[in-house]
Amino acid sequence: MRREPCAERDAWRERVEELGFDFHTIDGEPYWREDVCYRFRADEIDTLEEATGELHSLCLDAVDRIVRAGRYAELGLDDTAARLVERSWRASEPALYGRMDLSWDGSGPPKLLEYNADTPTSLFEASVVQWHWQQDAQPGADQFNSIHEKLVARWQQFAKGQKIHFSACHEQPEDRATCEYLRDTALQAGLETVALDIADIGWSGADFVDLDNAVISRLFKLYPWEWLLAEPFGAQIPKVDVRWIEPAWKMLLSNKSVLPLLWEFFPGHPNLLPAAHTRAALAGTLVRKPRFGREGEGVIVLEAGAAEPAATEPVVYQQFSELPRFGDRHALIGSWLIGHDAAGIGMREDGDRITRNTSCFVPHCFDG
Amino acid sequence: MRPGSRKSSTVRLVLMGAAVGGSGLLAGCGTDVQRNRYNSREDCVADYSQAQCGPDFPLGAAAAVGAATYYYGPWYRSDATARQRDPNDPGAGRYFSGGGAATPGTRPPATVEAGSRGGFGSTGRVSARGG
Repeated sequence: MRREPCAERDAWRERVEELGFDFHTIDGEPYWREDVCYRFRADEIDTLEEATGELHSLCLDAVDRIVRAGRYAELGLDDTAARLVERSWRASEPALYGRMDLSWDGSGPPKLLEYNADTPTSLFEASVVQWHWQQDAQPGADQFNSIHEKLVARWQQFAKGQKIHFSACHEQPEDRATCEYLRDTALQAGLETVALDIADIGWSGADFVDLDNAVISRLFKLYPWEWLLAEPFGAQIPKVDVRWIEPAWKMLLSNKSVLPLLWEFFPGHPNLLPAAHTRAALAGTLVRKPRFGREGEGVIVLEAGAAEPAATEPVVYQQFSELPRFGDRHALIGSWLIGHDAAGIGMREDGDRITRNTSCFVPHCFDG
Repeated sequence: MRPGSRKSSTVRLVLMGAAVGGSGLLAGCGTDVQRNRYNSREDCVADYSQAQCGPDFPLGAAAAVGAATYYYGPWYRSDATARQRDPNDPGAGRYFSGGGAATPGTRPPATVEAGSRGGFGSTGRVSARGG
């Protein structure tokens, strides 16, 4: 695993914009960088693929254990959320995608930092933009990235011939791109699709409806489950027979409180980090994360013995795992799951130890 | 994928592309919408097309208890400027767009129903949602 300088493609901004990637620069700062890239060996990609598959198995096992034992309170879920989780899990509602954030420097086992199981973004840049970069800039190398093909195949498996509504907060460019890209893959799988802003979903008194008053029966929502349930229409969710994508059981895995439960169920597992709901249960340098935090929001590193600011919401503690440093950049591996398969990676890097939504996306390749 | 490769052999896009920013998506969270209610299908069709008119229950009524059915046109944005900006917005219907003149032999909208929309999306306006 190396970070290398790369020659930028001529007119790369125009090239990526032609793909629909219009947020390569955010607030004047680069989000997409191709003056550098990460290069792996094939056996390193094997390690990442195997670890992702193994972690996925652990996560499914954990969901089953939580449901069987009814341990929803430990995740801060109320009865309504719990019933939705149970209903979706017992109905085996299929998942579409997710992204595991891994800490790994190329040696030892990759460690799971968290699982973005409900509303992962950076999908389009991982699946499409870096694929085109590799074709142009590193044609002799390979890339761990079959995300696109697997997405099309996944849609064909679980929603053949169906109409699916795709909803997100469209004023956010990244959300719009992620949602529209997924809709693109669904169209290629032969599905009928309708796009609408999350705020344009209506309630007819009996069903959720779109702007044409058509009943929504399958809804991809790039919008966290806990927000849906907390908002005014949340009370209607248990009343309707909607197939949600991601399904409600995913709210167990996107919740940071699953990290202590994973450690409890599989103590000492080489791909997990010690995690707990109390600081006293762990030793050394720790990371404190809000239970429902996203994009690094509210994440702090606690050195051993250091004073801790008061938490304003439920938090979990996890043993600190230093991201590999290349110069002043910390690199994070986002490992994608499509259905049940490890499908590729996207690299993010930041000058800080915490990866945030402003952290740069850097393409990767590997030598076969 | 090619045998031995772990990369998609092709990445074709049918929807995304340079025009994604103006691809007809209704932009913006939390926009107010409304729809016209009519006493008959004929009244509705005088304002919209057949395909845009359909029977429905008033918002908040429970279909199961036999609430009265009316005919409704499509949802459209309450803000006229927003309607003009969005090529996909179906508009307020011929009656309102034409300055309040009903088609002979038909009646104007009985009422305008403010949408029960915006019940999702409020948190997303102030917080990060992706991961």
